[in-house]
Amino acid sequence: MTSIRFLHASDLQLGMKRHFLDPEAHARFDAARIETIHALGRVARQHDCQFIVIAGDIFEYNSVSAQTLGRAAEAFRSMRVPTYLLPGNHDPLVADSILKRLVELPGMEHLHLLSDTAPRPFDAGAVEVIGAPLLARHANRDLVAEATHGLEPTSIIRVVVGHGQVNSYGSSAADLIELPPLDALLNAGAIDYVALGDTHSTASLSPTGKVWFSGAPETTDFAEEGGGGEADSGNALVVEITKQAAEAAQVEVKKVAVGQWEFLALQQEVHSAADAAAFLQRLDELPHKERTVVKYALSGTVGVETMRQLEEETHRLEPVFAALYKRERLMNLQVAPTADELADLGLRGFAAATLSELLEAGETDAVNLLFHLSSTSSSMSPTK
Amino acid sequence: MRIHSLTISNVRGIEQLELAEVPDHGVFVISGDNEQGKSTMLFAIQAVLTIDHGSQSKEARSLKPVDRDVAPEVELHATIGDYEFRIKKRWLKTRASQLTILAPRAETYTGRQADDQLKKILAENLDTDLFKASLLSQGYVEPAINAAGIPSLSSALNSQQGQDDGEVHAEDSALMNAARQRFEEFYTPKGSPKAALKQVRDQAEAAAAAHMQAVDTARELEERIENVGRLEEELRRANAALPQAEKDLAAKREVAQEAEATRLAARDAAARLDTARAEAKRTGDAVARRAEEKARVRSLTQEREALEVEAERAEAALKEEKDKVAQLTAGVDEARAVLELAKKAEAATREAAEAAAGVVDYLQLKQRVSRIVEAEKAVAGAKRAVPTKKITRPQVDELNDARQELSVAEATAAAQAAQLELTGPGSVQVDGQAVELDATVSLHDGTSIQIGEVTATFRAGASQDETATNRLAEARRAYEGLLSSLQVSGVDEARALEAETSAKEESLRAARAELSHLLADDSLAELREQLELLEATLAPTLAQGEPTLEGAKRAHCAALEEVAERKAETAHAEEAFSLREAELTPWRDSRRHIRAVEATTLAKSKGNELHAATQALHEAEEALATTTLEEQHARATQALHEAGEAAASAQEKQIQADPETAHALLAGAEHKVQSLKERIHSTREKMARMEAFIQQAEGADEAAAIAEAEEKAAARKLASMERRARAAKVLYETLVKHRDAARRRYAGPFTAELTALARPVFGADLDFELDSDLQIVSRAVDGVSVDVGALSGGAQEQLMILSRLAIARLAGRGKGLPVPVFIDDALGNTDENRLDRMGTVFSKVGQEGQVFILTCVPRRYDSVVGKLDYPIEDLKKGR
Repeated sequence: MTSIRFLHASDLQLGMKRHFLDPEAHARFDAARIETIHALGRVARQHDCQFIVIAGDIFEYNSVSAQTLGRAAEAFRSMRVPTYLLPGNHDPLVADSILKRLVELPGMEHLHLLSDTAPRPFDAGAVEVIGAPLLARHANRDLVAEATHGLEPTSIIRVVVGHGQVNSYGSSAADLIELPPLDALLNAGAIDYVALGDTHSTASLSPTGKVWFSGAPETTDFAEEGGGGEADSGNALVVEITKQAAEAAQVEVKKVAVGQWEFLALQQEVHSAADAAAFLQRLDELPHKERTVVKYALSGTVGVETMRQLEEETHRLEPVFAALYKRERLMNLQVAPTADELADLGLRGFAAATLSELLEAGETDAVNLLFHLSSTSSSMSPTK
Repeated sequence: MRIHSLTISNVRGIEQLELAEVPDHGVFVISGDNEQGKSTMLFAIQAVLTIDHGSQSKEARSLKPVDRDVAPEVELHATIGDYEFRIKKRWLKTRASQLTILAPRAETYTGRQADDQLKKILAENLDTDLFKASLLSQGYVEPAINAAGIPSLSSALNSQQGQDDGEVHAEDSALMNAARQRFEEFYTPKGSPKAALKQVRDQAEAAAAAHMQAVDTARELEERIENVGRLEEELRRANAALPQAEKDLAAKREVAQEAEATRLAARDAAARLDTARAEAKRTGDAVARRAEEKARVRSLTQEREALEVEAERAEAALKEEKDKVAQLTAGVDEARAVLELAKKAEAATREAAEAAAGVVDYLQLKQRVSRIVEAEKAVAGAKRAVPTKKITRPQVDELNDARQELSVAEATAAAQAAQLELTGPGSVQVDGQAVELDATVSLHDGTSIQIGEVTATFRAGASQDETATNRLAEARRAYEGLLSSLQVSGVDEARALEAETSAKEESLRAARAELSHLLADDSLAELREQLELLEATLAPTLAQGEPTLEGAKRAHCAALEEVAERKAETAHAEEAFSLREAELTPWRDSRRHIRAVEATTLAKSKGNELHAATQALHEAEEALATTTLEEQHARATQALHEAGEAAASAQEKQIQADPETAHALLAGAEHKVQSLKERIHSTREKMARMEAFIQQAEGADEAAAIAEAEEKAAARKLASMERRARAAKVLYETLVKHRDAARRRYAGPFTAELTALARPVFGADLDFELDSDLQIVSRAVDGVSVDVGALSGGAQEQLMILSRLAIARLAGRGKGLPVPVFIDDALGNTDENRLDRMGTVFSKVGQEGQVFILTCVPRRYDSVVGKLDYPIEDLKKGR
């Protein structure tokens, strides 16, 4: 009986840039991505993992800055856990391969680049890691199928590492990874686990429970409310395989959270001051605002006061969050002054005519400004 | 608008107040001390008309008493336009609203409907803005209204309240100013974007450009990387192909070497074949030469023998020839002698013949000369015989013709003429001619007939034909003319004369012909000279007696015959000589002598040659016997045969091995290996260059991502700023648009109303100047213009009240009744005189509508005609 425990991760996307982050936030975001490497090392040690496989897109691009490479190298060097790195579509094994440069740096003896499909023996040959690396930016065939072609059932534990989108309903794109053949190999004991990367949300892909996207260990994109987007990132998978003979192995997969950042995409209807207060309260209650990004879209019609409150409160929260901003494309919040508001404002004559025209034209910004200026200029009044 | 009654409960400081049964027009002085609620009354009227009962606004809240938690309530009974109504509103806690329309049709509304219906009635019948303005009172200037309302008017209203003009104006314009300030944050007054906005735009553009550039760099990097990928593949293929190419090269080289060996072997075999062929030829040639030598010796022997026979034969022939030549030469000499004799004899006879001929010639010439002399004489005689009078045949013929014409004319004339037949014997003379009788004479005019002595002359009558007569006369004249010219008597004489002349001339011609014949082309003188010469020459012969011509001719003939004979003899002798010569000539030209010498020499030479040849043959034989030679040749022939077979075999092997193709294949294989090596080398070089670039471009993708993020951030910043700028612009421009429209609407009417109202106060010649904000800038009285600021405080407060009155009149103009005017404690600075004048104005306005004066000094309005006093304390008590 052979047994192995390892950590499956992918899509660290080191060097990734997010335009909505200001320089300060971005510096922390960059640092958090680098920190992921340390985190993987820690998790691996905590769970007695014997090695780590990272299934592609370790870097966001091959051509990263010296800073990104240097800091990543520092982190990898201190990790000290045998780690198999697979070139993905973001860091393919081409002329300027960042992974090749990384593993050739001093002190990287524990890093193993899966530069071809040759099995990499581990534990004196009891385990084999078989990579399906991307040797070009775009694959034009099912590389995993190619890497596993002709494999026979064996008592050796075989971990296949691949990168790309999967298809289990009949292939249309040439580079999709076909799942049914992998299931067959898994069931036959020719391979025992398929560690995939590319999708940034953690997902089990096969009824065998042996084909997984680990998801990005640190958030890269927004999770939409209701499940869209990057729904379940920030994880790594602890995989334990036990194999008796040349037959299907027992595989246990455990999701471990490692990420720190959260990207939320919110959409909310606001028709009243209460709605606005609820939204603001929701924002207020979000933890770790300094590493949380919220983009929001509000729709509805509110009074001037409500609008003012929303503006003021979001304005107050903006610097607290890593980023808090409107989804301009989806924003559809109209201002409609209430009768009291209009009375309070007491506009007459041409000012009243101006307000009326602006409201009719839907010039929300101009209406808001008019309210703002009216209130501030009245507050300056010496006769009040 | 008319106010009929007003009830106020719990509004600010007023717990309860009632103003009832207010007349439709008049001046109502509501008096009381300060803080008694005079201004609250005003505010309550404004509130019940304009503040919704449900309002939580500041205005609404301000209605509430400060010290009590009760609901403020106001009820107003009024008429506006065609509507008479009661409106009752309660705000805040127990808010409520009720509108009871009394006319034109009784209706009741409550709640929001009441508020809305009231608004509708007001909107239909009032200029609400002006109405609100007219309600403004001392100490209460709603800033928002002030700022956004009608600044100039509200300023004007307040300018008499002791407030500073500039400050009021600043307040009025606060919203406009704030909007303009906001607008000018982004735009110049003319609407061009300001530096700050442009800077953000530039930053956004620069960020976009930087992003594009970074993307280009990253794309270039990607292309290079793809190139490197291709090069790696190329290098891999070349490296993979190289070992096989090198292996192929080695194999081809071996094949080529083997092929080369067959080529060399074939070349050697061919060389050996050439050697054998040369040897065979050499020995063959030697054998042939030996045989030739032998044959030559034999041939020479035969030739020499033949030549010797020939030489002997030549010698014999030569001797025979010598004899013959001697014999023939003697014959020739003899014939030559005969010929010489014959020639001499011929010459002698020829000379004799010539002498005889000379004599003949002499005699003949002599005879000719004498004949010529005779002939000359004959010619001279004939010449003399020719008559001097000559008539030619044509002349005879002409004469004859004239005679015939005459005869015809006579006949014609006779035929036409009268006929006179004469009978009798004898004859008669007719015109001189004798005519034998019987005769018929033709009569013509003048015909005379002489009969005997009698002469009858016929005279023709007038009827005679003149033509025949004329013709006859003409013919006769011609005929007689001719006779005269020819000197003959008639035709017969002429003819005879002509015949004689002709005969003589013929004789002359004959004589001349004879002479000419005799002379031929010679002249007699020449002939005589020749004769003399001959005579001299022949003198000796002639001396012997001159022979006759015939004798001479005979002698000449005899001589000629002699010459002919001699000539024949000479010819015979010549023939004989020629014959002899002909016989000798072949012998004379014979080469037999030479031939004999030659034959002998040849025979001798041939003998020498034979000797030498024999000697040589002998020596050759001694050196190498013919048999040996033949053996050598046989061996060489055999060797040639063998070498030929060997060469053919080697050639066949060479053909099979095909060295040329093998070399070509080798060259191809070498080239292929070379090409592969070069490709590997060049590919590595290219890769090195690409990799150098890739190294240089380190971080390009991340730089592009950063540039993209920066571009988006800049775009966001720009969008935000542009949005704010746009809001500022839209607001400001809309405000300006509506403000300008308001100004246009109020400016003219306001000035007109103000001037009309102010004339009783300031005089008839009055004018006001307003600025663009409808602020009164100056007042002109009797052409003297004074700035408002320079006017006295009294004048200024008077102007304020006049303005308010003007506004009130404007507010209702064209829409029904004037609105009530509220004057909140004024005219404190106005002197008595002006108070009186103002009183007349109030009186005038009071005649048209309601004027409410709120004051703590009611005596100021003593001069107002028909005023009613309402102490406020009384109103509060419900009196």
